[in-house]
Amino acid sequence: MEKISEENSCRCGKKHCCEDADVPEAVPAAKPSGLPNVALVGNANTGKTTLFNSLTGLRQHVGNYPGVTVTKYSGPLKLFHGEKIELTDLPGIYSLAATSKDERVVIDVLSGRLAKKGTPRPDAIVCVVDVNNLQRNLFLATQVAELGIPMVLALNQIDMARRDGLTVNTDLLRERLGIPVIAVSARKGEGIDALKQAIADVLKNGNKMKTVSWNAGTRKALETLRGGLSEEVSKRVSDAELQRVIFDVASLVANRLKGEDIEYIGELLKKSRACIREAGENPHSTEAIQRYAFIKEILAGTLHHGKERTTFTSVFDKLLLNRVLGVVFFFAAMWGVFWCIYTLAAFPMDWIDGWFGALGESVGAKLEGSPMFQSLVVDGIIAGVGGVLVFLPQILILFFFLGLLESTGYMARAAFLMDKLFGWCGLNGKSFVPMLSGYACGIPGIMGARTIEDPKTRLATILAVPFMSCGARMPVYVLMCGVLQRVLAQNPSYAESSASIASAVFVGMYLVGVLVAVPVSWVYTKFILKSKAAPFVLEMPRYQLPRLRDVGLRVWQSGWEYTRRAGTIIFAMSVVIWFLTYFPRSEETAEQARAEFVAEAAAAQNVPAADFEKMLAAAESAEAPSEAQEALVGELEHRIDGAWMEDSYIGRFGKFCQPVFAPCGFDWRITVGVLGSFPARELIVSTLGITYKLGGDVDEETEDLYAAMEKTTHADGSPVFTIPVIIGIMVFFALCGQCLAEIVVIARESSWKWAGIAWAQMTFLAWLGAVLCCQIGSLF
Amino acid sequence: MCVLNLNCEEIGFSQHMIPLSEAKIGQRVQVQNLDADDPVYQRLLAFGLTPGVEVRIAHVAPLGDPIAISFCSQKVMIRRADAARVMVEEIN
Ligand SMILES: Nc1nc2c(ncn2[C@@H]2O[C@H](COP(=O)(O)OP(=O)(O)OP(=O)(O)O)[C@@H](O)[C@H]2O)c(=O)[nH]1
Ligand SMILES: [Mg+2]
Repeated sequence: MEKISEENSCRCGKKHCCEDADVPEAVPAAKPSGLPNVALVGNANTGKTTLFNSLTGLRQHVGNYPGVTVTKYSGPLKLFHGEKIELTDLPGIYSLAATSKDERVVIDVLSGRLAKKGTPRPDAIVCVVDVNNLQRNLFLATQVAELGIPMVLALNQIDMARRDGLTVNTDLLRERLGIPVIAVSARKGEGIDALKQAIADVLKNGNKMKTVSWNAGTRKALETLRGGLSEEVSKRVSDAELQRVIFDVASLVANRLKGEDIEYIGELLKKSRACIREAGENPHSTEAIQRYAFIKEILAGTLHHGKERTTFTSVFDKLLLNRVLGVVFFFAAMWGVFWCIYTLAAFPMDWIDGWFGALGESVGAKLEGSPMFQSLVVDGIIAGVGGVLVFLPQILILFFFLGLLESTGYMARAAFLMDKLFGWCGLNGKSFVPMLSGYACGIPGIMGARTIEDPKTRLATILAVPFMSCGARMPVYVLMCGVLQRVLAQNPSYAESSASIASAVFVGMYLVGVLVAVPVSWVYTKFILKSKAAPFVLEMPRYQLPRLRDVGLRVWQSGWEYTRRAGTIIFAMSVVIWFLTYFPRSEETAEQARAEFVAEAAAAQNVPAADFEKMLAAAESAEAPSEAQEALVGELEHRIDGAWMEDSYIGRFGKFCQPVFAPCGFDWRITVGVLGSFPARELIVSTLGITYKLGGDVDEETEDLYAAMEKTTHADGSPVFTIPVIIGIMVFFALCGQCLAEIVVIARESSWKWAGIAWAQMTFLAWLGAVLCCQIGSLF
Repeated sequence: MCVLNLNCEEIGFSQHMIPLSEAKIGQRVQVQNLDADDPVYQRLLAFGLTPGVEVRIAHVAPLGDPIAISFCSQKVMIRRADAARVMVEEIN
């Protein structure tokens, strides 16, 4: 139902892109859907996506910070008289002199450059402005007006204006601008019907907004430029387009002058700009000055502010951006979030765990007849998928808090407080927001880097984002911290504080990625990409009460996505891992294990092997075995399971690869877990679940995976899961690029070469980190 | 700097140009007409920071950088290095 299309409009990163040059301009829009196309255009964070959602009923991601939407997407919308249109949501821009990748999409759409690729030049524009900052918002509107596309002005967030005692005379504005002006509240659903009506009206009547009348200097500059062009080119370009080139030489519109000699055009532009200078003005700022003068004229007498009063935002900012309190709050908030994740989630987790345990038992009992099928379902699917689903509560809590962070407006404040910590490594201030979203999932984070203008900084950010600990790593941390807590509890000097140490380690894991990402970025920006810190200007949004719908949607979507992955990739991989763990299961191995067991036990009990064999056989065939007999058989089965496990395909593979991970202190099971989780990180949880369930190490009484892992030993009897190894595993997962989807997205956003580099570097750093943990840890 | 400041006051000039980055927290300044093809300034112009507009340094981050400036009923953050390229005049 929804159509999400993306344009990699410009891969070469140059301003005048090779691709753009040969696209014929102003072709009559080829409409694939045949429907009139209406685009939502406006500054960032004005509520375009909220409006899109409330008009179309779709559910695109909304957040209270600039740069949430980084690509275009469309959805169908039915107007009142049954006319259907296609509505397109676009990233936010502040000016048509746009430079970053997400902003260029807007310009490409508005200029019709993407017409061939399925997004025609819009037939009408809904210019979404934030009524609380009308002056700034109208700057873009005046630029867009010059494109000559029919327009509606939507004054959004009218509810906020009302709250702050601001009233707008929309009738007067309509009269002055010559287009429908509709006050709406996308969030409250106010004015939506009037807006639909207005869209239908402008599609019919083609109302165009009044444009700025330029002063003499600017007009002269335009005349000079036009006069110098060849007739053919001159016929093709409009005054507004030429105007853009004069104001902004780097403008994409400059491509339209193709056909002229580049040097000649350069000279001509210089001459034309000189006209502005002659008139005593500055060609760099005259556009803004004239536009704002025009806007002030338009707005004169239309806005009525209520009595001045301190807004929520300024009060909150006084505290939250205070140099001391702000930092205290930031860390306290982060700690609080992780504390909630770690402790609150334990309760629902127990229920889910118990539920899967019960499910395993009841299903297992039903499948008693076919042991192999029983094992597949119980040890493979339920242990694998269930093991991952157990961590659903943590994911939901994490996304709940991320949702709050996004919808309140605190995100930009966090960027403000933390910028310096990241800034020194050459990352842009705008890198922070993608990196923060990387804590939810790397994929939106990597795509969010589109808001960064400088292609090199953008690349450095793309490479840094996957180091942020995403939701999929959380199950690994929770599992390992659980084991850590048990191991610590054994040690008298830590027993008391085991829980708090484990939770501190849990929080610490979230810092590991950042601590590594920052120096890595420094190396990239300084030595490899040699990018300079690009300037950035980030708007700080007003605080908003979180909208339950948006937060709920975030939680629901992420929970659903996690569950979906458990049902698809985790499920499939669990079956594969089970298969590799269960087979070949040869009789020979079993017999050999039995013979060894008999020999060992007989020697231990000082009886002849043949007598012991008889005893064993009796125990196995006993109708009503005694307790001792049962224990004996149990022990034998245990031995055979262990032998099968070691001889299984996965056991052989693990042992083959194990030398690579031996310096990290991993045994072959962890090695398999690590290697098996390259498609998705949380797979290690299911792999460990399966290998421990099937392997002989766990006796029936062992209540859970944690205990099983804690009891695992190396061949020499020393425990596998020592503190350094546990931490090493977590560090490995904190740093490793173990997510297929993420690598694909990196490739799409940069190139396969960089995706390869990212993957290789992360894998290497992960391995190195784990080795360091193990080796340094074992010194103590 | 101090000397300059005194001189200005003595001869009755209220104008005292400084880079925006030097303005103190809470201070009000006025933007000057700039002849700079500077990407930061271009951005700020689009935000409405035209010559003559009054700017207030609203916040300074804990580590001294970046700063948040407020003008025309909006608040934006910029880094000091970028702010250093915008010349302003102190308002007495
Ligand atoms: N009070 C109020 N808030 C609104 C309204 N419309 C949107 N918002 C809020 O404004 C913020 C930004 O909304 P978005 O829809 O993500 O804005 P956008 O224009 O798509 O932003 P970008 O994609 O970053 O360009 C969110 O926190 C919304 O909840 C409204 O009518 N009233
Ligand atoms: Mg949006």
